[in-house]
Amino acid sequence: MLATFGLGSSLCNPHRAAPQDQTADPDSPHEQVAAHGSTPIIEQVWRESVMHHELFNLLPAATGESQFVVVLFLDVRGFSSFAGSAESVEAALF
Amino acid sequence: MYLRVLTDYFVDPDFFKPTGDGLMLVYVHDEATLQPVASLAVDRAVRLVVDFPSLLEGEPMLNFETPRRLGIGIARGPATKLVSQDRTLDYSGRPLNLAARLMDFARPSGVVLDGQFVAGAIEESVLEGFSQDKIYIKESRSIHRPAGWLNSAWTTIRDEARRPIGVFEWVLEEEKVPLSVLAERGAEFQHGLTRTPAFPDEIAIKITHDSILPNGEQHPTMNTFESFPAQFRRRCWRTRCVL
Repeated sequence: MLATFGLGSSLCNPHRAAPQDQTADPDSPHEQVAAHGSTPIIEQVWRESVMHHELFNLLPAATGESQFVVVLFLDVRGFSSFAGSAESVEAALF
Repeated sequence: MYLRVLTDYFVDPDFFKPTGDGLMLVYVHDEATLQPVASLAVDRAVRLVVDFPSLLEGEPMLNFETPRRLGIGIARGPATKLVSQDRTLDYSGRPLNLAARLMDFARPSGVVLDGQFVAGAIEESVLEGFSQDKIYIKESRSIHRPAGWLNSAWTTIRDEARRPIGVFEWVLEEEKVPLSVLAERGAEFQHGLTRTPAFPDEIAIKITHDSILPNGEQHPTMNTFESFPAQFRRRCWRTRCVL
């Protein structure tokens, strides 16, 4: 249903509908997680999130780089109350 | 909303990520690009705050009320980029913590800049409407950082943020009331405060009144002191609050 909004792949969640009994494939996300020795909970989170499993695979080789930056934090005032009173689909759409 | 912000206001940030109720954006700069990068960031932030109430007008799917206010905190300085296989995973460092805390001050809306941000880093025309204000922020390396730039037409700094962190004093606020009026107020009465207490649980009401002799006359010199428990309440009507 969320895919109809065109909000992007992270909300479309293409892995949610993936079959659970797929055959072993060393390149499959499932096998890569198993190779990391992760727990069943991590496997479940990982299967359901594109961003999470990419981050999981990239973290072991991560390094730090120093930079001078300008940082902005934006906060939508009243979003929590809005999300609490609006339909969840409306909050997601916003 | 995210798409509109990223396509119309903060185009091509070096990094961004959603933060639940908002966004974090990072622009990298060097000595030569500091002023244009910083000026652009502040200018776009101001424009976004102005435009935000009508940002999504005309969106056919949005036939419901959406939030109309935005708070933005901006800081600059050295940070660490977490990178793997040419992919930026995240950023960490002091300017991120500081910008997040400054954002918290931008209420009910507005743009709050770090007080040490501005020195020559931003074009003057961009800072039109901004003034320097005293804000105390707790940081990891120092106890506080007393200054910020904001537009007071949008942002109201709460009283407790104007006091040095960890420095407290007892403040006595007096009200002289005839006993007859006090009696009319009943067992529970209200007294308006002029500032928000740092520790609302530790406020107390002390009543001093003339001592009355057994014959009913007022003692010439002696006063009686009594303490009563007090409860701090903030009462609000629409957008106005009283203490």
